[in-house]
Amino acid sequence: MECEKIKSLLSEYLDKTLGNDEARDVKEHLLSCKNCSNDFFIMKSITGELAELEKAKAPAYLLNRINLAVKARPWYAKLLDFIPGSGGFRLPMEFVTFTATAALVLMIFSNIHIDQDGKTIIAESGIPQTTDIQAQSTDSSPLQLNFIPAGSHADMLDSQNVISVGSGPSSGNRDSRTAGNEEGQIINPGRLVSILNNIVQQAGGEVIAKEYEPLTGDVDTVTVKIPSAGYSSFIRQTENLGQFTPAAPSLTEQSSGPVLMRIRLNLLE
Amino acid sequence: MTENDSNENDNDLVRTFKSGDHTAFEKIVLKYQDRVYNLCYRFLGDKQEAEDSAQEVFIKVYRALNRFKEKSSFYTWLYRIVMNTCKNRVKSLEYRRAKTRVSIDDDQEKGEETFSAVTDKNELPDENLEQREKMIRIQEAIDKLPPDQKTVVILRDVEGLSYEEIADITKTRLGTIKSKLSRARLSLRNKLEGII
Repeated sequence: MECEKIKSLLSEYLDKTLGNDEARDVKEHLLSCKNCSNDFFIMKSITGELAELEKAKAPAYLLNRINLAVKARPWYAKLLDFIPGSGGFRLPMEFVTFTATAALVLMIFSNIHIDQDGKTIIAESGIPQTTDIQAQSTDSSPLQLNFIPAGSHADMLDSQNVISVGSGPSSGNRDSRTAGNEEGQIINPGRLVSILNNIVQQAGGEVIAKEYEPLTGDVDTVTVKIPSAGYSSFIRQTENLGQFTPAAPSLTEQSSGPVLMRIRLNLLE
Repeated sequence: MTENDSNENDNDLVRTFKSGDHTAFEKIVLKYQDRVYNLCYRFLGDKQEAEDSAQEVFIKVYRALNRFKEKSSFYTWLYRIVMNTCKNRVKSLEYRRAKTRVSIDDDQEKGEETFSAVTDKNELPDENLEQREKMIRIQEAIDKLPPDQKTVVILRDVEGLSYEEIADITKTRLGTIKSKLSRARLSLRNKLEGII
């Protein structure tokens, strides 16, 4: 019994935070008890090893990754940073959806669109289908796109939160969240990101940043850099899985630089 | 960005950021990125997860810095964000799935990956094999601790913070910190018996 009590005090004895009386009791016990003494010296060795663990260093590109992710945040989120007293305040999704939809409708019917640098441009007829993104580089703002996986509407979501893509079976199979199959691919956020990652790599590009939905912790937005040579292939393969909104622009023949794209994954809309 | 720049006082950097000069944010990242990354790595035991989490931490800092009231020190506030981010990360379904997949399919590779985040194994001479193995086992033992115990043991034994600083970061009473640390150390002692 005394050993159990002493064991509970070893940690504080090690850190020298016990009072004088308790410290003396522990010390006397350790001198007479081989087991507790052994426990103490192992604990001391472990804390020594932990203190000596080599410090893992952040990758050199982390700052760039963070800057890109900060720049890529939507305008309404950036706006909130500068509203005093808005700590913890979140725009309701209905408001965000309504505002975004209203802005899109306004842009379509008023022939206005926003270019890659955030400048407003009056187009001759609606949103252009071809955009010259030659000058796109890692220093400029990324192309903002939404991606809606095929069949990701709420009615395709079964009780296990499994999203089915295509015509295959989707219900009642929890394991399929991580597996997928050839006929009816079962897609969940993690699986979708994994597939996108493969497509990006096949196109010779890289995933630069991931953003997470705060409540679920799932990835909801990915920022990718695609070389112009692999851009068409990337778009084609990704569109096999679903649909970009607005439609992904085509590259002009003069385009040569990499294309930066921030893709929001609309899994529940 | 020079080394001197990154050594500026935290309070000055925070005030500079609040005044609208966002280059102060880059200085904060440069100053703390290694510490944040190491904390994330020790908590999550995975290089890629640590990288993603470190990014998430600094984005949260960027978003919240204007509202930081400086009642506590900046690093206390930052460490609190790190620990909460890592805990949420562990909770997320995606993370648990990934960890399960790794542990079932690729246990051997995980061990090597864990180690590779700490040091380049190619740089080590053969006589350090035993030390490498020990480091892997220590990280695995940390990985298996419950989140609250893991938080305390990382902040105390890896980072070397005082009980008071840990209490401030975790917003927990000193007595609770001491008992969690005691349980964590005894648990590590059981897991690492025969290795250390």
